[in-house]
Amino acid sequence: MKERIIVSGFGYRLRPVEVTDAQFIIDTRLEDAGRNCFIHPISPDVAEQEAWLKAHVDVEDDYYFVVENLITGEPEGLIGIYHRKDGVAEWGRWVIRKSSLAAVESVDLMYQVAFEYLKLNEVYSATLCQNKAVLSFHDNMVKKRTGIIKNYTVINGITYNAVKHSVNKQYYYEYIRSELQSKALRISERNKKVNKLFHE
Amino acid sequence: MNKEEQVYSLLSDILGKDAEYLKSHAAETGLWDSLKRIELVFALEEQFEVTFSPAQIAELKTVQNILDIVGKA
Repeated sequence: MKERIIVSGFGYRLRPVEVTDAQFIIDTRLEDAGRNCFIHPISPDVAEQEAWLKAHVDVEDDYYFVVENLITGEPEGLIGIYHRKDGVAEWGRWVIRKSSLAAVESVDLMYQVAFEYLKLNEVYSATLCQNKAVLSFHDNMVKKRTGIIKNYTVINGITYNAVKHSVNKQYYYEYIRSELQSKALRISERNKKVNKLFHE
Repeated sequence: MNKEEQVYSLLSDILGKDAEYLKSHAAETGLWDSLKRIELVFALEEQFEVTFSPAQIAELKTVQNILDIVGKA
């Protein structure tokens, strides 16, 4: 049975998706029409999503997480690690709600899962060449591109190449972790303030 | 500087684009990524002494959106 991994940071945590997350997954993936052209279409049918989740829960080497706000307990995004082989895996399925600032910490927590729980040597992301905002994020965070994956995926009948950004364990600890965590800490302090102002 | 000028100055510093470029692309999405967005939120909140609500965060997609939201603050 696959290990159930839960990892908490300053303001957010990752926990495994459950069948009851089906509606949240649909709502989150369909929230932004501008972003949708860069991700595989998802049916708005909850029963279909539940069936996919039931089939997925036991798939080995495939980890799909909900990103939850530690103060409110509310889900704010999704992220996953999959295609695990020979110490390397791909990460993606990364979608954060428009009203959330969870992006930065969700990625740091993903790296922690990859290197500290799954004991991977390397993780990589594959971003469609046309997805400029996400490419910019990876370029700014990782600062180097590994290469191009030709014919990476087909979405709505169109074949896309993808830009690969690879991070190994040493690189994460030396160059990425401190920047992500300093931002994550600041965001968590802001979250406490926001919760007082808008939710209490 | 008025509020609009302050916004353009701040965005220019963070995004590395001059104010004229930002003005001519004010309605465009995709000028910043998630990392830059967080810098923008912190800088705007500090500059204008506001705290954006989650709904306002969701609306911060273009330069014009920022001007509209800050203008009402």
